Amino acid sequence: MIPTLLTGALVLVLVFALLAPLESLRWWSRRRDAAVLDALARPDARSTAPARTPAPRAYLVYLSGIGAVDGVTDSRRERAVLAEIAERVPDVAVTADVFPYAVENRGLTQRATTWFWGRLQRWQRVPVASLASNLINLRNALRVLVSADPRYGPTYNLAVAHEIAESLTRHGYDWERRPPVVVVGYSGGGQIALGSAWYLAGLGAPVSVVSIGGVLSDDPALDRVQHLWHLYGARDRMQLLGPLLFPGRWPTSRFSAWQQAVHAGRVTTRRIGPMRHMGGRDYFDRHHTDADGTSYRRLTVDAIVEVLGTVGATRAAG
Amino acid sequence: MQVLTWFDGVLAAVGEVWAFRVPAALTGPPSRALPVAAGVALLAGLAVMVGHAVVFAINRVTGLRMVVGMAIGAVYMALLRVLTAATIAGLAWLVTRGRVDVAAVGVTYLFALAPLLLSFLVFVPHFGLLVGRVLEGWTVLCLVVLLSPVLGIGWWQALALGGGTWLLSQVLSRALVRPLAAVGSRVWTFATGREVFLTAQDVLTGAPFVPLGRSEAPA
Repeated sequence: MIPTLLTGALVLVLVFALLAPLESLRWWSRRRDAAVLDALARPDARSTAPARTPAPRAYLVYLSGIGAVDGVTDSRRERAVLAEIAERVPDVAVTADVFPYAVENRGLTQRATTWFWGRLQRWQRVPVASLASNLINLRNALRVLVSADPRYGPTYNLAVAHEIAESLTRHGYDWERRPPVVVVGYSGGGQIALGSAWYLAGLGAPVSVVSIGGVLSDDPALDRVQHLWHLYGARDRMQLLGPLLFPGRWPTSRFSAWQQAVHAGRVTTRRIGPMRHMGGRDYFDRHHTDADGTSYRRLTVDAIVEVLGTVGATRAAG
Repeated sequence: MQVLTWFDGVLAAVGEVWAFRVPAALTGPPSRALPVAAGVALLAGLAVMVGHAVVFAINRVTGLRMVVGMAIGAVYMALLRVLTAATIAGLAWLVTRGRVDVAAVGVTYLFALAPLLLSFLVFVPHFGLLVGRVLEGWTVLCLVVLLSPVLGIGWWQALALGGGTWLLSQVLSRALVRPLAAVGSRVWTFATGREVFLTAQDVLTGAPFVPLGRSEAPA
């Protein structure tokens, strides 16, 4: 019985893994180079959003963790964190409408298999059924590997960068002035934020990346981002997968993009509290507190607000 | 029926090689083993092509054209392996002054490609590249394990011969990659009227292929 179950699980993982790169490859293969590049390079062409007044000092784009099913129905806890950031840093525009685990911002609940993913999403809140809902995590975690893969990453990250550029445009981003963009990614969203930063920086926007417990590779985008902040909790074991899985982050890879960015002082890693990666006691938990009585959510918000305070300074220095 | 028998023989041989056993087909004369060995090389070539399907997708080759491209690629790779086997056999004959059964060395090299039937796993994101290297190592091990009983030589000699064969195949494949890519590119352009956008080598080295730079940003 157990060997059968294990074999079945292995086959399932394999099927998911083999399917993972197909979506972005199909997206790429159905488009012509010029059309793709024009759409990315001129995201303001279809803009109908009025310019914001006063003009925001910077833009924050939030990419959710691997438990997300689309770019709309993000969790209340994540929304609360973003709302608090927006309140404390009112001169920074906050956007959170990009689903980083698919091309064309097409959430799992916006496709033919909606019935399947929708059910799994509902099961995320049911303790006895939460195991099955891990399929969402598996599916999205494999997109993180796609983003980090040198073969598939370029097309995948291009597609996500395109959606981020569209989101910025929707929120009134001024492509003439190009204020700083900070892409904040939680968990697997950290790697995708980093991967897409290559193209966003190519548009001339000063891009920084903030990873909240992100699983980060030695993405070539590190050559283009102004700064990468990796914020993590002391009990977050998941974020350790980055330095473990990606050889470019090993101390032996002295000439990798990661090591070069570290040596150039463009990578800051900071332990912000005793958080775990997900579930209770994670980065968005408002009930648990550290030794000083500060909630985990507040610690996360404080760290991001602190980063946002340095973004303009980073740009000036850069 | 003969095709089915041949296919059955190929799969049986693959299973034996995976388990580091000498396949029954290899115990006979090399001339009889060659069709089965060529079958192993052909299936390995097909699996390698599936594993590297990303090259087709990035070059925007899809649907039937992709299937045909993969089939041609598999035959091409099998022929390349047979050519490598023949070259290795010839060199083994020269180095040992005819003391080694060179036909057996060549056929054994083709059988040792059996682990590459799992090369479709190279398609798996991130870990696929590691799988590719593991399969390559497994292939060398299979070659060493098969050479010893087939040629009746000791382990150390088999290791030296297997290692030398692998090294030679690497040198040959690297030496041939540029001229073959140039020829392949010409054939591709002639057949499709478009230039190759990205080669397998570009993809595997992770070359960023989208020429998006600061100059293309909106003015």
